[in-house]
Amino acid sequence: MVETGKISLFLAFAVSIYVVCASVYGARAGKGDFVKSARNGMLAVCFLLIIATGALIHSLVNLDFSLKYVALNTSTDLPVIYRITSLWAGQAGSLLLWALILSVYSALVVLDTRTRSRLLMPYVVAVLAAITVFFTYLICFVENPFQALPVAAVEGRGLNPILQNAYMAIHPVTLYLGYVGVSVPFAFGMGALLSGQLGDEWIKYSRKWTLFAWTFLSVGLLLGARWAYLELGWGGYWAWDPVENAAFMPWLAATAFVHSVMIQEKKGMLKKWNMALIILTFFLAVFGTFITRSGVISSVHSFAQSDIGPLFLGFIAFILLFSFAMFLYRIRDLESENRFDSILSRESAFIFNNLLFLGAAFAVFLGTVFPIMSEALTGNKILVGSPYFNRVNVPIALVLIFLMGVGPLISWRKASRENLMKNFLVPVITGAVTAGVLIALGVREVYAILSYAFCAFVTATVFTEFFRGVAVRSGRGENPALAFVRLVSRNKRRYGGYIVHIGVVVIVIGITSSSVFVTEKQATLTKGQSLELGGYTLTFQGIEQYTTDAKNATVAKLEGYKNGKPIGPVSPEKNIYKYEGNREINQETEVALRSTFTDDLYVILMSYGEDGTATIRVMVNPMVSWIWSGGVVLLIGAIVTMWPGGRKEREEVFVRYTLHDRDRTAKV
Amino acid sequence: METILALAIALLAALFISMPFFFKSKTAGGDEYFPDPRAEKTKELGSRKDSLLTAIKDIEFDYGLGKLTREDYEELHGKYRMEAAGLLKEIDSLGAGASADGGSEDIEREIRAERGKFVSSYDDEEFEKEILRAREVSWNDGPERFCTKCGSGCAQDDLYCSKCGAKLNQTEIQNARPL
Amino acid sequence: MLKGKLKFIIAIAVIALAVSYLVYGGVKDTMVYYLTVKELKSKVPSVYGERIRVSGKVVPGSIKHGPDGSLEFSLSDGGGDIDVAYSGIVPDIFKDDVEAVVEGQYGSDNVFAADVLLAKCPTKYESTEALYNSGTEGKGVKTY
Repeated sequence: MVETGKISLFLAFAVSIYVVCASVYGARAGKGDFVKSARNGMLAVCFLLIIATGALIHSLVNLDFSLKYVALNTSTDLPVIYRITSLWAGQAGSLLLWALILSVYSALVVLDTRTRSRLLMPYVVAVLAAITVFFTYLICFVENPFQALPVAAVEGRGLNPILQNAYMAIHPVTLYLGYVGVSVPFAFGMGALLSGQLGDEWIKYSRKWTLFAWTFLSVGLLLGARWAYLELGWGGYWAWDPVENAAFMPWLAATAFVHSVMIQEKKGMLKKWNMALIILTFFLAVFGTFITRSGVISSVHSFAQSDIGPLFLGFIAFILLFSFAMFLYRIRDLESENRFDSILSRESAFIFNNLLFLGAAFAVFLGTVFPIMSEALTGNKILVGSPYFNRVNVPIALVLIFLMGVGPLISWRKASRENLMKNFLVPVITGAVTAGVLIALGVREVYAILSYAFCAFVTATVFTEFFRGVAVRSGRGENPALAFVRLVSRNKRRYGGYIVHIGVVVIVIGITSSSVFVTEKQATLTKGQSLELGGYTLTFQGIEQYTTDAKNATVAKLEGYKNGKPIGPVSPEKNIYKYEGNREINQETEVALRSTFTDDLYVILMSYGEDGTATIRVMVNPMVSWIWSGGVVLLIGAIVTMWPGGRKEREEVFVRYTLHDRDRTAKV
Repeated sequence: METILALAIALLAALFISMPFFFKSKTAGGDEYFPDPRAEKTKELGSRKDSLLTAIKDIEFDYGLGKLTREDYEELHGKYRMEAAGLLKEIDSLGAGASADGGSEDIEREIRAERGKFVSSYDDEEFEKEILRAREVSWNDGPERFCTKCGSGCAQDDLYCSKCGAKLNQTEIQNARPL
Repeated sequence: MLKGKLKFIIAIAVIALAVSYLVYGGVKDTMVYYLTVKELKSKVPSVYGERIRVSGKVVPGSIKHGPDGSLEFSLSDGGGDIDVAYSGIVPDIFKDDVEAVVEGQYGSDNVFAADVLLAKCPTKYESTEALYNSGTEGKGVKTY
């Protein structure tokens, strides 16, 4: 299998080069058979990379320790499921996964556009193939996962225990699906620039890909946060670590793009902006991969570093130079079809949304690369930590939440006082009442009050919208449940978007509560002693030790009570994994977590003494579970938005700003 | 054994990629893959024209609701009409045999056609429209109006029902939702 | 029309200024110097009381756990070493010889009072030597 995998990899590299050439030549010379051959080539690359990945998984599962990659990332005692997931535990495997996902996406793009946009597509395919060339080059010649060891190892080193976790099994893949997904709208944008087909087509066909990538980035970020929360054992879920930022920046840019394409669809505006934005998003996605995989910025998550750094930098520089050169070349064809008429309009709400998202992305970018920049400029390495990121991003986020309520209801082009009053009266009152109640309850944290008030405001706008829709439909004799389902399914994009917004609101409430109102306490307990925090009482019962095949575990036995009522045992652990010498990381702290709707009890065993004492740290994190539930809501909304079918998709031309005079029909 | 497998994969890929060269389309004249560039251009212009027409409708709508001053309305309306007429001319000059003089009369016709387009379209459009109206006309303004004939909702100042076209007489208007 | 455009420019400028202000203020108030142990030593006494971040290797055998979960250890980078006192959550991978990053203040008693402790896997995590050799010899410490 190893030989087959190697050869398939190399063939994939060669074929992608051919696809770039054939596709561009076919398009320029008007030779359809070359274009078709290139499309087949793209499908073949996908096929070849599936074989290569299959071969690597086969080696991983069967523990072929003659391969360096297998020996470094697995061991005989590793369960089969983690042998498979170790595909993305190391450098070479991750890059292979990147290439594989890209080729699968490319194949789907090819199949999806068989008969459509024939002038645009050859260039889109060429761009996708060019990205594939870079990644397959890395895999074939720099970091080959099929590289053999000089002498086969007897035993592998095993998988880092913090990666042996269900979330770590899916989080990287989810994030990669998002990162790589950004390549598709980028390829469409570049295809439009290269072919000169700068109409609606590239936006139209890449739309669902943009949403798809965005969804996976969002879910990937949340899964990563959850993993950090459960596994890293410091009680938080987000630390503004470079690797986290690396995923957050493309998310910010992609979110801006998802919103601003709507303006291009509806009004034919912001064409330059959208083009620049998708180039930026793709740049940030590749940059994110670069940060994660090159270890250029010190991070607790950077698992590897190697020679790919300079190559990645070269690739990134090439992307930026080439894209913006093309952009400038075509800039005259990207004129806006409409103008901004008023600052109080939906267009301008979207513009502000975009500026703020980009502002946040810029701030995060600056903070992330600050050590490198300051060292290059002043010779001193200067860091900015989480306080910087919080100080900058929290106010931006608050304004964005506010706009999230304004955007969907304000009029296109120019909002009248009437429109503002009628649509925003109830939500504004809801928000103000929320703020008032909080102040009356004794909440004094300004950011928290604003955050909750804005969340209430957004929720009220969304519910108003649903309520109106359902009322109209059920007023015609449909029962409300049916009316709701029909309402959503007839305009999935609008109502799916609202559901996503609700998910974001729930997440924001969770983040606000857990970061503002967290309490913690640390104590060294002897048997029988108790610790109290936030209504919880923990009574220490003693230290216990047990041994399994894989580890020696030490457990602090605690009895938990909430407001006097028993909640059962709480048992944080410290585990030592049993590997003799060949594993670098053998300790793992297993937190005890009791998660409820209102708060999370998070108990860490810090250390234990010979005399039977234990030092434990207890945190009560309010409403953390809202973050994860909000993620589920967000995912549901995104699925609704992307759900196939409906007449909208069949329309050839975007209906721009459709307001009908006699019928007073509007599609928004 | 493995070499044979790898070779087979390579061969398969090569065959698949070169297939389009062996099975060329039999259609004579022109390339089967690429469509007529003129048709593409016409399509693109058409899409731009559509967007202008909808913008014109929108301006008329806003003016009708009193959201635009007369001056603004006339300025915007005139501007968009000029642009649309220009586009129409361009489309006509691309299409063979069409009159080269696509002036303001053509655009008037197009606008009229656009206005009429949705009247006969199906139910969902009606719902969309009513949802919009629910947004535009606040429930605080008093009860909604409904057509006595077909039961669809109407704006406070409507004279005719937008669905069935029945005249809305003040005395016939119900202020409660019909059963 | 012109008036509308002006409004936009003003609004955009306000956003840009606000973001720049946030960034500037954030950087100014939260920046910390990132030094190696050697650099820290060479900057005594001007670094006393400053908030700094230091990286270095944990000197084998220097880790002492206090009874209440506090921790003392030494960091070294070949150009000297410093004593570190820390209290808080200890990363799982923290042990002898790993590369650790601490943040806090270097006091005039020459003890680094840290409130942040991060540990990183040594470079050899991706090297093959460990497969044959269970010793602690790696390819060397990574530089940033």
